[in-house]
Amino acid sequence: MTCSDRVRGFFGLAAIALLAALPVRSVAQDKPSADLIAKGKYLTDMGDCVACHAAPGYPKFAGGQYMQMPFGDISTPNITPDKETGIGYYTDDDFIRLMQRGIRPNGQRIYPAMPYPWYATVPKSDLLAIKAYLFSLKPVHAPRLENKIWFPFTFRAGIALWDAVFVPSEEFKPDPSKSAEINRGAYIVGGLEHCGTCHNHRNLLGNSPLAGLVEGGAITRWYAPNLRPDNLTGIGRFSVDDLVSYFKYGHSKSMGTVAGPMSETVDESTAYLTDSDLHAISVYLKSLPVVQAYTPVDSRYRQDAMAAGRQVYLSHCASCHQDNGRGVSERIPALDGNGMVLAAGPQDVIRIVLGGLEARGPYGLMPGVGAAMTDKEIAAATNYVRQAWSNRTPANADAFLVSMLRKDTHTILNGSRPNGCPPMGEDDLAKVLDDRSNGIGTLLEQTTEANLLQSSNAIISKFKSVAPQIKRDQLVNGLTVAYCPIVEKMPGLKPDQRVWQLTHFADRVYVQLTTNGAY
Amino acid sequence: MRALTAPLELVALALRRSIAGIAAHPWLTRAWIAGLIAIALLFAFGSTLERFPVTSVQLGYRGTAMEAEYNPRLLQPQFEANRLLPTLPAVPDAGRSSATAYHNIKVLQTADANQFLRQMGAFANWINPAAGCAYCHSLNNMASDSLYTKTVTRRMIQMTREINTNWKSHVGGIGVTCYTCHRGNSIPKEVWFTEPPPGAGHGLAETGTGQGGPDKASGLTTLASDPFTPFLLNAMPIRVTGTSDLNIGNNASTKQAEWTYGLMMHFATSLGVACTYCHNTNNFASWDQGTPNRVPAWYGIKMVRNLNRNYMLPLTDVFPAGRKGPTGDVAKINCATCHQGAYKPFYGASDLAAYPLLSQRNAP
Amino acid sequence: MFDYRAAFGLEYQNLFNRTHVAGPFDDGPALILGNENRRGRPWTSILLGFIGSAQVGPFYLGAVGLASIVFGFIAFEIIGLNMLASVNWDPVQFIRQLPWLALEPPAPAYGLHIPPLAQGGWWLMAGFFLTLSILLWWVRVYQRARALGMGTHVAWAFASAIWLYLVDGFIRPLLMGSWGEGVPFGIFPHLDWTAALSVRYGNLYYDPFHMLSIVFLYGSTLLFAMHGGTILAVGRYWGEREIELTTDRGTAAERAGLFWRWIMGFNASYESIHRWAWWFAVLCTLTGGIGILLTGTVVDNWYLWGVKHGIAPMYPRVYPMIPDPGHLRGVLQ
Repeated sequence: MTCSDRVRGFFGLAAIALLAALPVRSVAQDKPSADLIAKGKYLTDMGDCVACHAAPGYPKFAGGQYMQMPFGDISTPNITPDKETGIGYYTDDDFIRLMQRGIRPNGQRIYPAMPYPWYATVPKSDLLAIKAYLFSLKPVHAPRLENKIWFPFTFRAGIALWDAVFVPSEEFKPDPSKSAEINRGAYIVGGLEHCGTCHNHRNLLGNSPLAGLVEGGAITRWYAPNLRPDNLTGIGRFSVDDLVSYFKYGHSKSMGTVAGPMSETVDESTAYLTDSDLHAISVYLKSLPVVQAYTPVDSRYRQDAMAAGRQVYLSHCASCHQDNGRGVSERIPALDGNGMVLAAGPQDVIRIVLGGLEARGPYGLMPGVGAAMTDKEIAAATNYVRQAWSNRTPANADAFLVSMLRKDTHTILNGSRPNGCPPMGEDDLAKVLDDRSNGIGTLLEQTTEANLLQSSNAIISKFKSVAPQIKRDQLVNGLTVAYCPIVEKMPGLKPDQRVWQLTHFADRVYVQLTTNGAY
Repeated sequence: MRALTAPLELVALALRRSIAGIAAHPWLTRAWIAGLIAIALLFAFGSTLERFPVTSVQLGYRGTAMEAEYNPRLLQPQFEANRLLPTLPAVPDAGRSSATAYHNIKVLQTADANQFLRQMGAFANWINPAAGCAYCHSLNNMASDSLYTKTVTRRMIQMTREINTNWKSHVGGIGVTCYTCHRGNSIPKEVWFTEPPPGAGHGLAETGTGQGGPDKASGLTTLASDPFTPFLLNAMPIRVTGTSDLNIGNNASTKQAEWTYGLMMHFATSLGVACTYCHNTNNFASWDQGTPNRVPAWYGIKMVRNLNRNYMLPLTDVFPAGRKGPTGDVAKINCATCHQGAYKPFYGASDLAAYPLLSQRNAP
Repeated sequence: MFDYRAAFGLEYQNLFNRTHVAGPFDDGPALILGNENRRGRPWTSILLGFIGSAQVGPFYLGAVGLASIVFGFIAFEIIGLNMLASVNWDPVQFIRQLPWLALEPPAPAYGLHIPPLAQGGWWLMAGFFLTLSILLWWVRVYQRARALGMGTHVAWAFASAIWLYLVDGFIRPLLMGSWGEGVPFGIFPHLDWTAALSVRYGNLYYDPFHMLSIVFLYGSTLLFAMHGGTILAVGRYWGEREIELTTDRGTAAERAGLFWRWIMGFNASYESIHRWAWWFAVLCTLTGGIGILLTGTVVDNWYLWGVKHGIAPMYPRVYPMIPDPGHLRGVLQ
């Protein structure tokens, strides 16, 4: 899941070519205080700038990522203070004009892939803190990659009009009738955190009052659920503590784990926010007027959908998520009452079935079970879980939607890896594996399907002595990535057998870690 | 009446005119007839003839039409679809039994711990490779019996051993593994459920007679929609043909013959063979005129009946609601469950020797 | 009327009748007391003219004909509605599965008792009404022939077919003591029944009456082809006026006879060829009925019967002795 996916496909407007050579100007700067820079860093995290402004292999904030739009690819620019290729030449006013109005120093309007409709509500002082932080970074020379926008969309006609209608003209003003905490939450949600980019019902309409604030919306072939406090179709049944935990760790006891674009948001943004801010966000969301995302369905059709999907559920899902849909506490998320399952759109369920889910906190890794299922089976199972137990969504999954999403879902866990196995991260785990003296790397290389169970036992027990500090989910995800190229190289296996072997290994590692071999 | 047929009459008039026109030219008439014949031939050949080559294997005395016809071109995809998985490499023994290494081992307790784990890995590949261990084991506690699938699997391991040790009369040296039936499906593709009994239809109309629909079970005939319950679960008599020239007390009815015929059609479609694979059709009942293939088939009926009664039926309450048939019965075995269109599962290939735990005798 | 034959001489190489007779409508002879009036005003049809006489009507219904149609309709409805019920009254499935749908006779367990409607009662009832309808139609065929002062050949040929029908559905089940031996109504079901009957009784091909029936069946087609071909071939000499030519042999009859004498040294006459046809057709169902009647009632395995009476070979063994495993265990299942 990349940031580009997140923005892809929801602004159906013309784009601007940002190819013009930019004039270089020198800007006088005062040295900002350390406090201001620290505040700026916090706000930069809140804005999740790095999600888009750093491609894999690029230094942070150096851009270089292509945002895939329906009409072409836009590259994200370098926002380090490099004078030639970055924003080093921006004055304070330039910066504020760009952030709030989407206009570059040379007067060019930028494409609303950049969430300036949200940043428009952020006070200038906060924006200047962000600028101070960005300017404190080491300048990186990284020229912007060429945009690849299709011809008719290279004209920027319409953007000015769109801006005029859908970009708020005023900065955030606290509502005196609400508590300070709610106001703080409103400021974060509607501003830097730009939740509405995905969660607004009509996210084509930017951050305007028409957009259906956080009522849930389809985005980049995922579905961002309704965040209004409706009991069934929104977040009404989750406590503030649940929400805080979810934002902080990406999982909570009653909400299960995060998936899709939101997992990136958690890892890159909300995990860095203070508890009080997370609390404010949660309290604010819970204070919003209730909006029902859809009318709960309890029809005869529901029975039919269940009959068709139940077989599939029993074959592919029930052993972990249980026949009663409640999962296993702190091991396997419940599907009954699950926020993503209950979203108005079925995309999330389908994509997770197709692509699997990495381990997170105490929760285990989910294999990409959909790789071995037909489109029809996945659609039936999706409708089943979305209508079974207390769930009452419309049965709107069909095989065509699944086939579309399948083309788009490439994960290590379902074996559709057009670019081969992903690279290892640079963390403790990689170091342990690189260190040949502990023998773990060798063990991993010698792991076949036949000795999988013994071998994973040995690997985990070695890890426990060599690097006990590595967390369980890191270990599961990291070892899966590390085992991927080894499976790739094994002779005589069909593609799906490679997927199975990898997921069996991941399963085993997780089981070994959760049960300590006590079986 | 006249008004109703008027449009047709107009068409007929036009036809008559054109025929008259054609008939005016003898060559046109002949071309027309030749064209009709060509279309008829094209249809007859196109719809019935198979592209060569066809291999014919003689199965009985000359002139009795006891032969099997194979088209290698059509057989090739069948071979591809009936391939074993790659055999798991052997692993060294751990030197201790699985029962000492792990908790709650009930069937494979005497197995070496490493061989046990290797076998477990094979189970995952064979039965539900996508879900893996998790299909039967709670990932929270591998020893727990909380999932029904684990209970079923235990019984299925015992069943596999029963087949491989006590039913050599049917499976011979080839034997079976879980993969013979499962082929990566948590429920084997071909299983059967008992149909509601004849006469169980509602209301005054005659419905649910067990006949009179395109019956998949008996090769799309109308012979019997469920020829399994009477013969592969219960022991109703299969033999119906008279064994003497004049009737000396064979009371089998023609209807019974239809059910037997239905079962035999299931045999043939499951094994991808014709009647003559076992029988000389001049007298189906005769053992002497048939082929030796009929003997393992006879034991196969006994075996499947035994397995359905002793291994499947007792699991009825273990399976959850969605897994049962229309009468609340458990999924059961027939010929297609293992054979899946091949005269021998996997066309005789076997990797049972690589999984010796499955050919051990069950503990009494 | 333009004489195509005179002009082209290719008349009977066509697939359809080219000559459509269209004169004043002919009501036929006056009927004696006890007959009803004919119904409907006659009209001509080009379409029907292609395959037969262009004049349609008048139609003679009569009390017997009416009763036959009513009873036939009842049988038709019983069969059709039961079939429709068996696909849960779904008209689409009714069409799709129609060739497979059946109205089955009762289970053998009912013997000759009357079963509940849903378990074979409808079959008995449909059979009763269908039989009644057919028999009444036979009466009608007989009566109309008599009314026209004709011979009753058609009626007796029809009776032969009714014989086979009655043997299959009524007489043989009666002798076997079970309605379950009857034939199901349905397209594939009655064919499957035939196949099952043959398997049950050791292969009907070895039933000598079945053999005869087949001879007459195939013989009928042969005769039909020879006769039809000959007459069409001499059509250019007005050969289709058979009756006239029978008594007053003209060019057509002479040539046709000569043709067969050249071909095989012997020819049927215009009269005798129809006797051949009539007898072959009648004997086909007559012998067939006898063959079925003996099946099960007397003979249990026709192949073994054939071996015993020297009409079927016992083939040499190709494989080593294959003992019946049922005998090895003392169980016969």
